[in-house]
Amino acid sequence: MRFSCQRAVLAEGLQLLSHVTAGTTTKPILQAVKIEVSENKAVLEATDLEVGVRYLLEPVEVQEKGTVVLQEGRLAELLREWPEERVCMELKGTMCHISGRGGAFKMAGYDPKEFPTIPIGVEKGAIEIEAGELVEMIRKVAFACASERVRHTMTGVLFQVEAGTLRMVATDGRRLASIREKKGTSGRGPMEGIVPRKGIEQLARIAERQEGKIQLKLEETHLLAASDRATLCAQLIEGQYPNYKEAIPVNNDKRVEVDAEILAGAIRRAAILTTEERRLVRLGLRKGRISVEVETPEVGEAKVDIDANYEGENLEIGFNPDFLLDALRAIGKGTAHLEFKEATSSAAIKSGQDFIYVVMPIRLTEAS
Amino acid sequence: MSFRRVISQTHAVSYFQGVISRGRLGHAYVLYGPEGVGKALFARELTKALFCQTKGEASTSGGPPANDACDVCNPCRKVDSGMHPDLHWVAPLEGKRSIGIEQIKELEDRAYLKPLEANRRVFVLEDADKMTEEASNCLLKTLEEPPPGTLFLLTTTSTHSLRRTILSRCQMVRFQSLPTEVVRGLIDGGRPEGPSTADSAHPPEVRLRRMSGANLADLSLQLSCGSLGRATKLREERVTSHIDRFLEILYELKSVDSFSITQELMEWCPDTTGLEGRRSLLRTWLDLLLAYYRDMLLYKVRGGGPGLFYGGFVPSFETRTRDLSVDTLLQILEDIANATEGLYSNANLNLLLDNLFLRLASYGKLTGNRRRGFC
Amino acid sequence: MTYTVFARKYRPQTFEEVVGQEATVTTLRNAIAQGRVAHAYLFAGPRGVGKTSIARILAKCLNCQQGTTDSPCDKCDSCRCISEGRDLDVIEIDGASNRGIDEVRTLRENIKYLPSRSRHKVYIIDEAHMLTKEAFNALLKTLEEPPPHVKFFFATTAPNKLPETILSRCQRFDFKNISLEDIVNRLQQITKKEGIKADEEALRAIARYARGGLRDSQSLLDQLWAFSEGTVTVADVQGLLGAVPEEGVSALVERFIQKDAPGALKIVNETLKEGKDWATFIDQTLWYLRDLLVVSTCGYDQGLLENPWREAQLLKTQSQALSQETLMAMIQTLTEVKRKARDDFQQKVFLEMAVVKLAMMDFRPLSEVLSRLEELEKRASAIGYLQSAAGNQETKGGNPKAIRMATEVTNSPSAGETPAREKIQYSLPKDIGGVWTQVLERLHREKPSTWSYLKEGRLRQDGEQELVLEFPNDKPFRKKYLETNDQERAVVEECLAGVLGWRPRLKFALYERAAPGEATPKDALVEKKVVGATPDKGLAEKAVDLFNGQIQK
Repeated sequence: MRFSCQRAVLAEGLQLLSHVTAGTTTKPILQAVKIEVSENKAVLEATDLEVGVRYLLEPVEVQEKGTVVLQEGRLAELLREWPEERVCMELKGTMCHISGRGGAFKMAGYDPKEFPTIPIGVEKGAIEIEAGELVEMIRKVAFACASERVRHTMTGVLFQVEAGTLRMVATDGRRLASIREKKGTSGRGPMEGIVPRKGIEQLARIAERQEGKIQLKLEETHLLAASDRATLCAQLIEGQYPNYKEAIPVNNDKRVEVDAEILAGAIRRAAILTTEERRLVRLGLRKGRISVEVETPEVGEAKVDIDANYEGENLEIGFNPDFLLDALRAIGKGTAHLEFKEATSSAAIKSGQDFIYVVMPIRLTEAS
Repeated sequence: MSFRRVISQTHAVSYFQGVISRGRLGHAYVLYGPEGVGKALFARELTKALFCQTKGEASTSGGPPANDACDVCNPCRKVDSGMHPDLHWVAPLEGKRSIGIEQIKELEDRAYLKPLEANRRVFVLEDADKMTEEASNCLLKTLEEPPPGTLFLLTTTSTHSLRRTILSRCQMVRFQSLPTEVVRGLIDGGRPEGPSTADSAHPPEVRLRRMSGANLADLSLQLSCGSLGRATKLREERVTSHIDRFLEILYELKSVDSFSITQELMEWCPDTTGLEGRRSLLRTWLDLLLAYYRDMLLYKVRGGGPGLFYGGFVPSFETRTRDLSVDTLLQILEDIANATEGLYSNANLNLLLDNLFLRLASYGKLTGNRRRGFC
Repeated sequence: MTYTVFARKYRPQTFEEVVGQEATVTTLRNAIAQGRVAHAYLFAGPRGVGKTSIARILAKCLNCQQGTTDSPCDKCDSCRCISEGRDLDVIEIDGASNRGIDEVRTLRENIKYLPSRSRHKVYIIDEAHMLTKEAFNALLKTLEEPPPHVKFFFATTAPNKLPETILSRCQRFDFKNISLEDIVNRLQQITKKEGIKADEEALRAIARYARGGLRDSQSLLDQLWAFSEGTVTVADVQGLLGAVPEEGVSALVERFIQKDAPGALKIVNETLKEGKDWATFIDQTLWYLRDLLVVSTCGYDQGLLENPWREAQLLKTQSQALSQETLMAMIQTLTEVKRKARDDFQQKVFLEMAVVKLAMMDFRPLSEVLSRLEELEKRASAIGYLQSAAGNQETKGGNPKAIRMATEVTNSPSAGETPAREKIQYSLPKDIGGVWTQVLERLHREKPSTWSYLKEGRLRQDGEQELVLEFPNDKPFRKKYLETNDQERAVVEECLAGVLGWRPRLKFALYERAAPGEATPKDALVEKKVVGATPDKGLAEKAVDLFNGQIQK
């Protein structure tokens, strides 16, 4: 194997892969990156058996085909310190030679046969989505995943593909975020899978670097995603996702329309007077306005009134301000539709047709 | 070779083949039996049989039977090289004696991901009894209700060394000691494909033949009690070079200075491989000692006959046991057992051995009026 | 593709299906009917008797979409999600994997939020005994006064590991082992449903093996059925467990009675040769001896026997031949073998030793043995070792805690004034060095860290009941360490008490080392110890003293 390329090209590829190799300790080969050089291209690969990524290096000058598997961390570090614009790698025996003005390096490699295979092949039955939209979707739901390991299915994001629609759902049992996009077509019938957090993060990273389309395909055991240069294979979480549809309230009749940014500002200000122990704001619904109130013993009180489009009965309901802000941040600019029923049942925050956020209230009398 | 690599465990092999073909494979099994009889090997071969692409279906003439691995397809080869992503092998980490809770948590995380290449995930917990209490408790919930397509294989020497809360969630498959002949065959004939790290480089020592009829090879086979692993270890420990002297010592135990025996024994058991290594070597010698007195006990009780470790010594047993009552012999055995146990505590080894040999030396001189309970 | 094992397939889904926990079920049903469901329950009991199952059923009762009920519909989405462990409002937490304070803090944070669709938020905390102390403490306040929508169900096999403060805040149910009959009945239901042919005797054998754990019995049945061709028989069960037919066990005990050691050895060797499971064999023998003990104590009563189908006449005859003390000694000996053996080699040899021992055991009644012991004591006291022997006996046999308490009592000043104490004759053996050697040996075995401080120390008598522990003057810090560290001192004093039979008062001093610069050879540890203790005697000679023997050249 022998090839050369811009130092920056290789470094960027390694940077993308470094999130995959980081953190695995059990098998050293999982901390390695595979460089496969064929006639006119070179491909980087890394996997921790949970997430696998392939990345096409471009442009490269290939002198000789071959494959080498090297420890990712060392190679990346060497490239950072490399004084030249170009870098040339050559496999001699089992050692990979990297030489130039930066010095002469021989790095020991692993046996490429021991490197796990990463499934590829997104061609058939994939749905296509603009990279930017995908990033947006992920941004709007992924924060709601559970971080504790109590229920494994909830640590990931549910992907549902049905009739050309892609839906993503995340919940931690206290709030739930769901977003839907109508995109492309799926070759096969309805499919769903739970993508773990690590896979989601890597998918976002790939999409962020990409302009144009990303192809997504749900398989039985993994999610495949492909851009022009990168392919991702993310293992799915086993088990059945909670019945999230049951958690979305359907007859919340107290509906408020309010500017998302203004409401967020009011909540942020009021929340300053809350404590870690008592993270609670009270929303008060009156005709034409919403109040955001905080009363924290020994800290102080706050009351912020904002205009809102509301015609229903009065209602007082308590929330964790962070959970409201998460939703409003996802909505960004524009109008937020808030739907309530009573102080003890869940509230929905919607934006447009496709984003639904459900949040559980805190009982106001029990809120210590 | 597949299941055919698993020697003499026909029960386990046919059990799993039957269960698989009936579609009744459970999700958690304890494979228990003596150390070194092929439990871990079996776990590997079973995994292959489950992952194999051909499952032996293709070959009817002389090929592997149904539900066995072909040994050549990609999944089979990956399992063999330890690289199959759906086989997760858990054993104490290097330098550790136990399987810790972190390892079980990692296993749990892995269990909740779908399999990568095969249609199920297999988790092997080698020497599952080495799980710490925390680890073992941590496993319970997942062990009882794992995600679909999960198979747990726990290996251990005895079901009694696992917590009942674990056992209660598993099905049990027993592995048997290998017949002495099989172990002999494996050790002497060499193994074309075997589980162990044996080296058969030691040429039979010439002086062995001088050993008054006692066949040392047989001795170590007997001591291994049908465990290939142990037989191999006994071989590797090169007890052979000192066995003659050892037998001499046994004979002169009363007249030899106890301290010098300790000295000598410690020299045979260098700590070049660390304290653990020395303990392991000492354990072998104490076992040889235990076996010797056990033989005398059996001789005293029922006379010669089959089943003796030192069969070749029978003619001399009459004189050797003359001064020793059954009670005394039991006491001696008890002392040796206690000393052996002491190896595993933090005891000072010199002191431990001194103590033992002093006691042994004293027995011949007593008339048997000193009796103590067995326990 | 995936096969569901019986233990999971037949997990009870309603109270009606629960086996053998009638009292618990009735109480819970009444509580639900009367609307008095507590906010925290503790379900304690052995493995496989239905703790987690009942917790889930109770959760369904509270959250069933048909309304709160003591017989949940098991069809609504809530019931089904709870059964499948994926309900948003019934959160099953593995206490062993989420045992730390951080996890409990998260839980405390989460309970504030109202349930997403149900009436209650239910936390089922399984393996609760594995939570750390800090985690329990963090839970306390929450348990005291949880929000009205929250229920806690704890399940544990080790309630004794839960702090009192937690226990007192929970309503506790102690689950019983499930009776043999109940297990057999349940197994019969399963065999009927699955169309499995099984002998009743086989089911009984399974139930016996399960020892009260229903899940154990289901696992075993599952395994037998998974492989069996026709009918599941007792031989299948024995084959699977590596058990010996019952006749084999009674034959072995008969050999003990006949004092036929060669015969007993033969049975053992044949059993092991056939590949039977060593531990199971010992267990079977232990249970058999236990049944003999029951018959010998209470007379023949089938209901009390571990295996009611043993041959009655044989049991009666054998139990008459063996005294209760003998039976207990036999049980103890065999138990010890099981505990001690580390591998196959030891298993084989230890069992042989035990069998020879049992076949030669004295069946004489205790009174006779006692008088012999007294005689021995007389002889022992002649050489000043009475206390030492007694001390040994005590620490060996009994509960160390009790002994410690006893010594503490005698040591406390008030106890010191009692006349009882004055009556006791304390005598220090002439050979203080010998005592010290024993103490060192003991410490070395039991607490090497303390031993290392004391190994160069020596013991001197000062007055009637005081002993002075002297340290070499170049190691003053050792003296200081012992002086200031109450725990270590207690260890030494206890050890002395063990050897002497009473607890002396201990003082500390330094002694001048003869030649401080003297090179100490590496292996001279032992000798040094001996020299330090009794400079005039070698270890061998002392050993001879100890054993009351003579040196033969």
